Amino acid sequence: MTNNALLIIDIQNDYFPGGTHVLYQPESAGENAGKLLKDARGKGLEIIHIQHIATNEGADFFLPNTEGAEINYCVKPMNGERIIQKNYPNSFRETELLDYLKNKNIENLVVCGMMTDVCVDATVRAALDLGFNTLLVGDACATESRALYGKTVSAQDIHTGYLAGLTALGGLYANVMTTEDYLK
Amino acid sequence: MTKFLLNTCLFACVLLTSFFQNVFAQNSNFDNSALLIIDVQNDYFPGGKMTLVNAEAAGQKTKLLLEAYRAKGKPVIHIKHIATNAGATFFLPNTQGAEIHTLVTPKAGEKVITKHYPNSFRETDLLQYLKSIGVKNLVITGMMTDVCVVSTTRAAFDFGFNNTVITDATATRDRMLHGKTVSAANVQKSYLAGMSTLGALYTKVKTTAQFLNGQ
Repeated sequence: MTNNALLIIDIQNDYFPGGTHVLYQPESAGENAGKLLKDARGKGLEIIHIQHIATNEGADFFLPNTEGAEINYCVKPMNGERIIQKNYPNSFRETELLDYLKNKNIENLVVCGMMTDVCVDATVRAALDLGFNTLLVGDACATESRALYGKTVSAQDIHTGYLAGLTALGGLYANVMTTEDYLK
Repeated sequence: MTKFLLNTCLFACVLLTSFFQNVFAQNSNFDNSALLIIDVQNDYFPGGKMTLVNAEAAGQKTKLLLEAYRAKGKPVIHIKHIATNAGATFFLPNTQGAEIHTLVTPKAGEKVITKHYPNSFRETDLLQYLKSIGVKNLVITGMMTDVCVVSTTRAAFDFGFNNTVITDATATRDRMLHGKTVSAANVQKSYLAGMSTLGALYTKVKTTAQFLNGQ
């Protein structure tokens, strides 16, 4: 297990009720991520909290120095746990994540977080190209409904579609598991 | 009477202006762009080893775009996947299945880039080539939407390109998740919606008709 790290992506207040960009069922995903975090702490796994800070023009959530950009209490970092801030969906872009993982000799990533079809997908795809094996815990991820050509695509469809695509071709980008199966 | 003539004249002017606008309108969709055709190869088509849903239809749309790019003398890049990973079952080296489909057969002089990973930029000269021809905007077509197309689009964004994915010129197949089938249609719409979310952050999405009409 020493080569494993838990990556928790963007589980921040704005994605929860009361925030400025509320997702579909963020609480259950957050609760599952909390279980993964507790398990990782118990096993002494390397834990990395990824925090998005929006610096792009027109951004309306995760704004710098706001309560909404804070990591949600369900996965609140403890002293000594690494927090890496990013400004792009891909957690490796212009961050110290790759250097940090290499220094710790991490080869395998356990990934969870938000949103499934943006930051999670982008990070998992970049991770493959950088040589990591990824286990994605699907029910510890969440997203929201989208629009395509004026029609709504439900959050559940987006979530399921993305997980299915990420695990296509024999788990090429990621093996996808549930929290329950992972913790067994 | 004068008023009537004036009105008629005005009306005619408006008609003429709109006529000329339509006829001579510049379709700015092509500006500074290259057409990327990803993995439109035989194994994805009926009779191949990894058949997709609607490969024919997507291939036909891609052909329309290819012809438009050729007519305008704009750059076209054919991406061809050759599987070199252990256990690969399609796009195997030196097989008919790995050949680019006849719908979009490259012409002499068109750039063909061979890749071995879903991300078309990985271990290829794609980035260098795009920079060398000064392209800023990518018009992305091909297969499969949720593997090579999305991976390439995300990488392109990180390299600073402005992307447009042509929705009906992409295709995929049914997937499995936790033992259940997720239909190709669902995978397709999910990926297209996800890639173009947050104000088209990674990519715009357009149909072939929209793109060719200058929308």
